[in-house]
Amino acid sequence: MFSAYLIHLLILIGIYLILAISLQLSVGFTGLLNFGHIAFYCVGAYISALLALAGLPFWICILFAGMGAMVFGFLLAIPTNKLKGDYLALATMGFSFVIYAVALNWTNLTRGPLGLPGIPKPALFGFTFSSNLSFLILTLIIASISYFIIKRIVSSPFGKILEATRDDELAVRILGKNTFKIKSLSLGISAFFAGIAGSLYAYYITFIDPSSFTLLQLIPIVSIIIIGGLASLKGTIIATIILVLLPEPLRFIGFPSSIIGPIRQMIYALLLLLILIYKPKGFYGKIELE
Amino acid sequence: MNKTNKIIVGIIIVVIIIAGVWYRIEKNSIEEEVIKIGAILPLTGEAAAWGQASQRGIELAVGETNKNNKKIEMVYEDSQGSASNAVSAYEKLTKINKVDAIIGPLLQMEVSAIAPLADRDKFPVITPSYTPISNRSDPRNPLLIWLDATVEAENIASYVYDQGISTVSVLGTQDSWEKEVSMAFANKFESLGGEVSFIDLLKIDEMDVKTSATMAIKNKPDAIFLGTYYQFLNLIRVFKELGYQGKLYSIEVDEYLANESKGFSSGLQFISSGSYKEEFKKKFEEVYRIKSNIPAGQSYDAMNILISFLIKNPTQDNLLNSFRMFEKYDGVSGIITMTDDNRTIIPTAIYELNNGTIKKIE
Repeated sequence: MFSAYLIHLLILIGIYLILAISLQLSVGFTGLLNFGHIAFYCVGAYISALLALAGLPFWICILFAGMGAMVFGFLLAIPTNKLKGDYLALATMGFSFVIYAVALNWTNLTRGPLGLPGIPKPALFGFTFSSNLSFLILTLIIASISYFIIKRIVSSPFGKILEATRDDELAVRILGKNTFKIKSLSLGISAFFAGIAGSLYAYYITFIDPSSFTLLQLIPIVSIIIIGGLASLKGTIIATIILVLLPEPLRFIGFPSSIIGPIRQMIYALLLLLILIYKPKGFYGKIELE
Repeated sequence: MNKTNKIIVGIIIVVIIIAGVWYRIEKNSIEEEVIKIGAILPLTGEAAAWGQASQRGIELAVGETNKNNKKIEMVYEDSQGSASNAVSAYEKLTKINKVDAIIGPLLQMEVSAIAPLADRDKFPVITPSYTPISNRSDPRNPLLIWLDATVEAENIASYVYDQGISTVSVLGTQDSWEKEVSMAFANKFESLGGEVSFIDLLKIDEMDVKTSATMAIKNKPDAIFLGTYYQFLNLIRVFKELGYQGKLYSIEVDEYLANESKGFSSGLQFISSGSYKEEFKKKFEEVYRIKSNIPAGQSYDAMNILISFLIKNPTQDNLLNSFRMFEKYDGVSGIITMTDDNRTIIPTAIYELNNGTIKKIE
């Protein structure tokens, strides 16, 4: 039954991939140090879960999850328009805290810390994705579509403007471009895909609660885009696969039971440090994180 | 081949070698006649202290069984207190390690994430933890070996009301267990005819609790109920600072809290299930050179319950039947009983704190 375990890991890779490439769009390609990504993921997961529990079909739930997160992306772009670097990071981090607090305290809607259990498995055209294999196929299809859309965006003239905004925003404005609109679009699209990832997560785990969307959960995603290399989609795919799979073989090393947890974490951290020592820009990074 | 590709290939080779070595070891071990039990615990992260204490309780129970010629092999997985990691651990234990049963996880969100999987696979899971029934597909799988939070909170509410207290302020936190406890206490107290003059749920990591504490004593209630472990010390100190002289009640105060609140909490009464048998306490201290605590005791009992089922009926179907038929077990925490509506009941008592020492009063 190794395959069943592998299928589970591949589903996680698919979900993390959507989350990471969408973060790459705002951080790597547009230069927006956005720590609000986990909040978009949370919004998507909750919208999707609530609609699914209300009996709405899968395609509506996932679409609304993406669109709902996108609305929050546009809203976040308004107050953070003039912020850069650390200030932008702090402001978006604040947004993550706000969304977390809403999920925790709006108990009539979200059940607060008790979470939302019993999220049904997705169904499309009468077919229910109840087995992990069918869910993997669904996840891979959505992840592939997300990848190709984002690849298309970053390869298009609009993608070049995003990169130009990242490298020299003033120059882009002098050329007559509306950088607020550009950054808002980048954040909105990025949020849309984070919402889609959140929806898939909710459908897969079938239970969500606010603690699944703390800032701590953003660390692996940020690690993926840094190790893969900023502004590199190819690097993001490789880093997602490595970072999701790397802890797994460590589970199989027979450490004494009393130190099993901490020692695995230490080895994992050491491996990540080694990668960054030898490749400080990540695998295929084009730019350095400021 | 450039440097980047070399590094990537290197990582892939290391991963394959480790997986290969493991596969060989695993294949050999399967050939032996052993009962394999998986454990999903938060061994690292914020809940690590809880997870490690639980692991000690499990190891103690396994060690005793293995002394009597029964061969139990444990496979530990670290959930790091995350639902998705708990799911990964579950999939690995059931599909790769092919364990006979699982003990754990401990946190509510982890149990809630595992419950539908255990139900789907009809795979037996026992957990020294509490999760509301609404978050479980099958109320007997995972089988919970932890006192029902609502029942315990209602018991202390009845006790407080019987002490002649008519108005009370309730302070808890947004943690799922503490919220359930605080709300259950308030609802029961009101249903008995008492008045809840103020109720607030703090953040678990909130630094300044003075505002809530001031509001709690503003209406001069007869007593204050602290439905919190996380904010217990903070609140106790602030009430002392504010000169509060009234009565204080709480739930599940352990020796750590008792010791740390020495000088602030004298007279505070609380309900707890943590009165473990002396024999267990002594044994635990001999082996680990530290004092036992609630997760260790509950995990010891949960493990022994699982072992007793496994020895009698080792197949998974039989195990699930044993879960369904489970009525009572005489453990180190007392007689653990399961009610008809699937609530776990463990004996409780009322205790009082006096200068850091805990004294049983009822």
